[in-house]
Amino acid sequence: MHIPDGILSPQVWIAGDVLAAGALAICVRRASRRLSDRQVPLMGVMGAFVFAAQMVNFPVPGGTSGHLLGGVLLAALLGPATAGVVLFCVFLVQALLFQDGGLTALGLNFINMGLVGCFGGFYSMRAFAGRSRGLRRDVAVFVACWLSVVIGAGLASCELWLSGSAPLGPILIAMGGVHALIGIGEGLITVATLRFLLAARPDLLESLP
Amino acid sequence: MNRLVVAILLIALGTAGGLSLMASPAPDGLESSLDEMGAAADKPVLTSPMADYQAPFTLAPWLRKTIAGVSGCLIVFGLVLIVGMALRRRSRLEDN
Repeated sequence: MHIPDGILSPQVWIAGDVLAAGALAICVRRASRRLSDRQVPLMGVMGAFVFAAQMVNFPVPGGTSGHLLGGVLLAALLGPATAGVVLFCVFLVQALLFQDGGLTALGLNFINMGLVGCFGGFYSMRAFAGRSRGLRRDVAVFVACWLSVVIGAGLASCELWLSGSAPLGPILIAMGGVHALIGIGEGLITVATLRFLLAARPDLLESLP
Repeated sequence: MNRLVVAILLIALGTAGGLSLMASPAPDGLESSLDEMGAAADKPVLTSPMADYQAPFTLAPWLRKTIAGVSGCLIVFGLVLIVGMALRRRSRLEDN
């Protein structure tokens, strides 16, 4: 879902970059307030993991593909603000070194694929499951993932429409349809990864706000 | 904790350098939707050294992708670690 350069109008991507810069500043302030020493190495390796997972596109019926976004996964382990900082680093490296997502679209890509999952996903997960464990948490994580991918795709559609690159109805239907399927992949990968990590370290979530 | 951190890094490197070779080559949801709309992107504003996850060497494409994936993983790891340590230092300053 990485938006490239040259498809958003300047008004849209400049507004997106300004919004994203403000949101990133808030993430940095919030993250620095509650970061513990043991979270720093976890941030590093989870950033590397999300970068790696985003390289592995899985096939989706209909001749397209999708990959993990990772916002809900990172937020569940690190809290939403720290997760936002980590994901921004991933998108920055992708845009600069790998031409994955345009540099001008970095702000909106960070919002669509990062902040929606980190904050929206995290709080919807908390609303559904609180701090409970087991199946209830798995279901809440899955739903949060699915919603964050579909909402992110909806936002991207609106940005393309505002830019005059696509009509609103058709792009919403096309993007929504594909991402309703990609969201299932996001949910399955996130639930499996969280289960694996929490089986190894059940106390991993305890420091979360 | 340290063992888990090392394990996650190794899994990440294996995923970026190995599993990524099995990634679906089909266009992603955004690309296919834009194709459907007949919309096309202009030129990117900068040319990345490893565009499309291909390291800039005259090697087999799979090896170029493995090198790109592994180096990208290590760069993200390093960058996030530096950012994390800077945030941690800030939080200590605020504590005092």
